[in-house]
Parts: sequence; C-alpha cells; structure tokens
Amino acid sequence: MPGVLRTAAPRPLLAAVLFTAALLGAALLVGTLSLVRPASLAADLDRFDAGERATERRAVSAEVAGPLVGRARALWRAIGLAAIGEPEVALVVDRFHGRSFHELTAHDAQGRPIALLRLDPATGALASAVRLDFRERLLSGSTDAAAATAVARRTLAALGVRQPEGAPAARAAMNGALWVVSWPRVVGGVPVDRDGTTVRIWRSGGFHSLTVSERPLAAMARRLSVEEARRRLEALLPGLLASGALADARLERLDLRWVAPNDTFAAERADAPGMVLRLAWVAEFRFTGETGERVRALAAWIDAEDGSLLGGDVIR
Amino acid sequence: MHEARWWHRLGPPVLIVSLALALAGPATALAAFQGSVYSNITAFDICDGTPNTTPEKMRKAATAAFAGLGFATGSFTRGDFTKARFLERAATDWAVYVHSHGDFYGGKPGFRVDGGKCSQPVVTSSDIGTRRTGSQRTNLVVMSTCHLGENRTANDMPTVYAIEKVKSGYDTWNGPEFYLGYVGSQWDSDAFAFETLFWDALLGGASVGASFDEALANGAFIADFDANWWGSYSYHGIPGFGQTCARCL
Repeated sequence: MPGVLRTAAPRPLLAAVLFTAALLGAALLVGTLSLVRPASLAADLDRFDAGERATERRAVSAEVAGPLVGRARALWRAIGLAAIGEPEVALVVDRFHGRSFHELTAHDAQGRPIALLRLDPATGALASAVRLDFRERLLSGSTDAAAATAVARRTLAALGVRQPEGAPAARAAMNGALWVVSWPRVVGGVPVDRDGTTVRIWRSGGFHSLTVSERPLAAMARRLSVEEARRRLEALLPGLLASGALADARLERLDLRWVAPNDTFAAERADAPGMVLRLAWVAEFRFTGETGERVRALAAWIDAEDGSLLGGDVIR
Repeated sequence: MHEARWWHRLGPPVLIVSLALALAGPATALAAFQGSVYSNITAFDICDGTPNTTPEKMRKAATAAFAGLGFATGSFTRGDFTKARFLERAATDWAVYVHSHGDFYGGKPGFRVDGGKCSQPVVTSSDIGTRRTGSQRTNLVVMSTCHLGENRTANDMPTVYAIEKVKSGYDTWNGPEFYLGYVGSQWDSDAFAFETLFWDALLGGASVGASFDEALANGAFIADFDANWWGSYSYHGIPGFGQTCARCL
C-alpha cells in the first residue's frame, strides 16, 4: 500500500509543494493585512503619501474626448505643432495637488509624446501646456528679457489665456537656457504663494510651457495684527529652533501671504500641500554661523485667523 | 520493491533548484545596477531643533522611484549616511540620489553627509572621483541640494559620474544618462513637489527629459524656482548600458 500511495501522490514532491504554497499564502496574508488601514484612518485613504504615484489615469468616453481633441488641436497649432495624429485623452487625478484634469498627449509618427496639455474638467480652462520634443537647437539664439516677455504675451493671446494684470517678471533660468516670464497672483494686495501665470520660453524664442495656477482660497473671518503675529511667533520659536540655531537666526521678513498648509513641522499631516490656501503671516529666517553651514533659511507660516502653525519651508 | 518514479528522486531537487533560480535570477540581474539614496535628516531634527518632515519624504520618494525603475536600491540616512558609506558605494553606483545641504567647497561641488551628528563632513566631487574611473558609466544622478545644477566650470559633479554636461535632444542620443540638480538656493517644498511630479512622470513611462518638463509645467513653484539637467532627454531611466523601451531612440 505505501508503494501505491507514493505512486498516486509522491510524498517529497507533495510536501515541497505544500510547504511552498503555505509560505506563499502566509506572505500573501501578511501583505494584504499590511495594506488594510484602521477604520479611524478611512477618511485618509485617498491622501498622498511620499513614495506613492502622484497621479492616476482614467479613460474617458468618446463623447467626452471628441470635443477635447478638437480644442487641443487648435491649441497645439497655436504653439507651432501641426499635423498631429490621434491624441491620447485621459482624466488625470492629481493626488498630490488634490485636483483632476483632462490631459491630452500628442505623439509624433514614431509614437513618442511631443506635447501635453491639461484642461480643467469643470470649466475647460487651460491649466498647463508643455512641449516634450526638446532639441538642441532650442538652446541657440539670443532672446532677451524684453523679447521673451513679448513672446509670452503673444503666446497667452494665441492660447486664449486671459492676460493677467500688472507687469510680468522675466528671469533667466537653467543657466540662461530658458526664460521664465511670470505674472504672480495677488488677491486684495496679498501675494498668493506659488500661484499665477507662467510662460517659459527657450533661448531660441521657442515655446517650452505655460502654467496657470489659481488654487481656491479659504474664507477668513478675522485677521491677526502684525503685533499679534509677532507674539505668536515668539511663542512658537522654542519649538521650532534649538537655542544654538536661534542665536544664528535673523528674522528677514514677517508679512502676509496666502499659503498651502503643509506637513513641514507636523508629520501626522498628509505628505502633500493642502488644497485650499489660507492667509498666513510668513516669518522667514536666514542663518549664519555654524547653523548656516547646514541650513540657509527657514519659513514658519502662522495662520492669520487663529494663530496656529500652518506649516513652513526650509532651504538647505 | 515498489516501482520507482522519476519524480521520487528528481522532484524535490528540481523544485528547490527551480525556486532558487526563480528568486535568484531577478535579484542577480538587479544587483548588477546599484542605486543609492541618501537624505540628511539630522541637520534639522537634532542640530537645529526643527522637527522637519521633508528629508524623509524625499528619501521615500526617491527610493520608491529608483526601485520602480529597476535599480537595486539601498537607502541611507542619519548614522547610515556617512562619508565612508557614500564613498564605499560610489565605486559601484549606477544611480545616486542625495538630499542635503549643497555648495562649492574650496571650489569643488559637494554636499554634507548626515552621520547622525551635527559636525557633518563634506563629500566633494574630488572625493567621488577617487572612487571611480573616468569612463565608468552612471545612469541617473539627482543632486537634491542647492547649487549643484549650476553650469559653472567648477561644477564637475556630473562629469565624475561620466555624465557629460550637454543637453542631448529628442533627435540625438548621449547614452543612458541623466543628471538633475538645482540652480541657486531652493525651498524644500518646491524641490519635493518638483521631484514628486518628476518621479511620477518617469514611472509612468515618460523619458527623463519629458518628465523634467512635465514637472516644471504641472507644478506650482515660487517664481525663481530653478532646476537644471544634463544628459539624454529621451533616456527612460532604465538601468544598464542600453534600454529596451519601444519609444526610445
């Protein structure tokens, strides 16, 4: 009988298979459990954690895609791209910034992406456009700040983007390879941190990209005075800087700005900036001495309504 | 005597060898292309009293990206991010990421290591050059520090990694290599946002150059935010001497 049993089911092989299966099963169980979050964190399931993919791409129906493709072709013609094949259309969920876009990608004859644009799904407004077909000749030429600004203005008009108020700033970036022409966003006389309209132009005068950022602002019931903000800052400082670093610190500015709250000083928050901007008193410190050998600057953002610490920033 | 079946004798060893090969194959292949991620956390948390979350986020994002691209990635911070550790691995690195304080020291580009203490030594391009031959290839170098993306003659950080300081465009090819750095002093939040978008585009199948451009266009940055690159625009960040993606040149 033992011989018959071995013939029907070879024991060493069966044992090895069962052992391997058990190991795989255990690994699968542990892996699955590690992905399960407690119910208390259920509301945070969609929040972005560093190391995860920042975007998700979802298909859109032909009915939605059709009009978008027509508009995209017109926009691409405006930045010098013509005769493009059928573009790829997707709904991009930007988990990092907490917003979604219709994204259209143009490809060349070899199937390589050569341009991309993003439209607001609700309003159809152009949020960004970028050419992805860099060639070395874009670095030649002698476009100066005035010429770059003129090109930027013409580009806005061609793309149907409202000309922002005020004079733009033109700044050479990438060691002179790229001109960045920007109209920072200002609301009620207060700058909105990192928002505004930006056009980037290669040294040759060729189009690099356009970005329009206008994030929502919170309604603020009251505003702390600068004296109140200063007192709040003094109370917060011992928790932000050790005494040695404080001695090396110089308060460079304390002024109002709209900022996106972040987790710089609060690890329990999401790893991405807040979606709704809040008015803040921004205290910026610069460092010298021993501290300055490791850290150049630190900014602390104090909520202008309730005095809480909204986050901040660091230059290494 | 019962009838002996071939699997009685061969089954277990064949199974063991098969499993070993299945596991060792990819590991061996990946081990050929080492990636190293370093982030300086101590400079803030201990030395300056600021509980700052950004360096750890940068480390996690870069580690996931390197691993996702296929590099056999080691990740180091605090007491594990020392000058000795960095230089030891520098000899065999195919991909390198550093987030720390960067500057020019005695005219040489460099950065401070962590080491878990406040007296943080500097690693310069000269130090790295002693551990590598001039032609030893590197695929991907990201210096997430101030200044090390500047186009000064003195900035030989790309060249010690055998990455030429040229921008090869869509119609040219300078090998599977890319160097990314920042110009001037940059805020951490801008660098983190930029790198998050850069890694995301790269892992989504875009080339390194297109990922750089997408990150610039799709983020919200301070007006004077400034990053730079050298290498091959159309390289896809895949480890090794060449690449196999359908859309690559």
